[in-house]
Amino acid sequence: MFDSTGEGWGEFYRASRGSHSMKLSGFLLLLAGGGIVLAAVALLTSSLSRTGFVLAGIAVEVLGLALVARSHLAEQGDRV
Amino acid sequence: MLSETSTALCFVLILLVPLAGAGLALINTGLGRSRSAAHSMMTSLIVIAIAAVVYFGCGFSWQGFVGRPAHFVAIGHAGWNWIAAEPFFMRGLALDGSPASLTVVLQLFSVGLAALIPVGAGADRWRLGAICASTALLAGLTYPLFAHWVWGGGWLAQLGTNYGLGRGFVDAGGSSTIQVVGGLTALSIAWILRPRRGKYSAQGMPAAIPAHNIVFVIFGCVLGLVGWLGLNSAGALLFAGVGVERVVLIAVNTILAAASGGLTAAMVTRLRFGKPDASLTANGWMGGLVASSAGCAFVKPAVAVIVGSVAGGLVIFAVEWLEFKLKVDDPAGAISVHSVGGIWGVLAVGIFAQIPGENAGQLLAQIVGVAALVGFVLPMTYGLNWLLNSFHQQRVAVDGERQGMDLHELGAEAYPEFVTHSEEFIPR
Repeated sequence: MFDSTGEGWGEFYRASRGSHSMKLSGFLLLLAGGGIVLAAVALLTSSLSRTGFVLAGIAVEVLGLALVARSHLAEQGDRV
Repeated sequence: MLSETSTALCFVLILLVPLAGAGLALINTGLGRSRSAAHSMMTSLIVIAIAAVVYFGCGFSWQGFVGRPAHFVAIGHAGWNWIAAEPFFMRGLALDGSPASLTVVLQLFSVGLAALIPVGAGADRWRLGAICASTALLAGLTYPLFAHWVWGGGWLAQLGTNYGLGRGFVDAGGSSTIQVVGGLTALSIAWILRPRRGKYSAQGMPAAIPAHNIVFVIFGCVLGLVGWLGLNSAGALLFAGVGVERVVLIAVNTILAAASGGLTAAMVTRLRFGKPDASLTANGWMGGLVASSAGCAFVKPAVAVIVGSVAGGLVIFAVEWLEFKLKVDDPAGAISVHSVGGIWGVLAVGIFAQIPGENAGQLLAQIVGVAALVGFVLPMTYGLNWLLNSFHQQRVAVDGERQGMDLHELGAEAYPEFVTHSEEFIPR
């Protein structure tokens, strides 16, 4: 992976940067999903809309979790 | 206020809880490698000790108890109780047999139980110093914060009174506060540490690293059952407000959930692999126990069988999914057992439980609790451990992993008689 010209290092660096930003985005999505759930509970009164927004918040969290998992897979792939 | 009989019974039940920790320590050790066995047991003891001391120092001051000082944030018409405001070192708390003082005794044990869960996920590669620091963060910050939300009269517990969601988030025995918090920390640790050397090939195929002592594992399951009987019963008396007469139901439900979880796992592995798998059966048993905790006082025995069976099946598939798809190396199956089993247990309360009083909206309250775990606790515990890893490398050096944690970190092996020492054969 790493040749004498150092190009491999650049590739590794770019890949690591990519997985780090993916991980950060994932954790931000997790927090955002949690925020949506809190907001739904605190601000909405109708049972239907509250349930809908809570489920939407959960969906955002699932996306975040998938991104975080994916970023760790990418990091691991770099190290194998 | 508990009656004298309830107080005495509750205290005796709390004294069973350390057996759950002993069981978990044996399971973690048995499922790891033989060259890290002494390290695993030693670590378990240290983890329980650090968790208790840190919880005494600052944990209880964040967790508190219902009706005691706390910080509120006003949102709309409701005040959100988000963290306790007790003095450090438990000053001002009379240890006189009151529910708050009994809670402290229970928490000194259960925080150690939560901190033992990540030890299984980091087996064979997690340095002792890093384990100590990570345990301090769990016992001092993550655990007390979420436990306050659920058991300390926090915003999750108030979802019922503030927003009409059933009785608020209900977790009698700690499926979420102990198990999922520990399980999500285990996931963070497994991600940060990365897999053991040799676990995955260059193509990403996992290698089987079998348990070194399945006898430890099975004995740990039995000890775990005894500990869980105490944990679920004492938790229900203190946090769910049930009467002493429910203790028998709780015991029956706990035993049935563990039994059905273990049997389901044995049957599933028998059907899939041709023979029942001992370590996965143990994971199924523990998954049943974990799932039983949340609703142990509010479901009928037949429902406890369903809850345990589903947990046992879920745990098996979660173990495989984590290992094969997500490439997460979790030697003890801690993430699957405690996170997946715990979340299922929490949701099962919303689906099946018959809680006295208002039940409408109970499932939504339970879902909000799960969202808080995944949305706030996971980022928090990952962030804290990631920061710790930046200052203090959590993973052992390559030589240490090859040599084994026993020799590298402790200087002595768990099974020295298995090594032939030449000096033993020199005539004296």
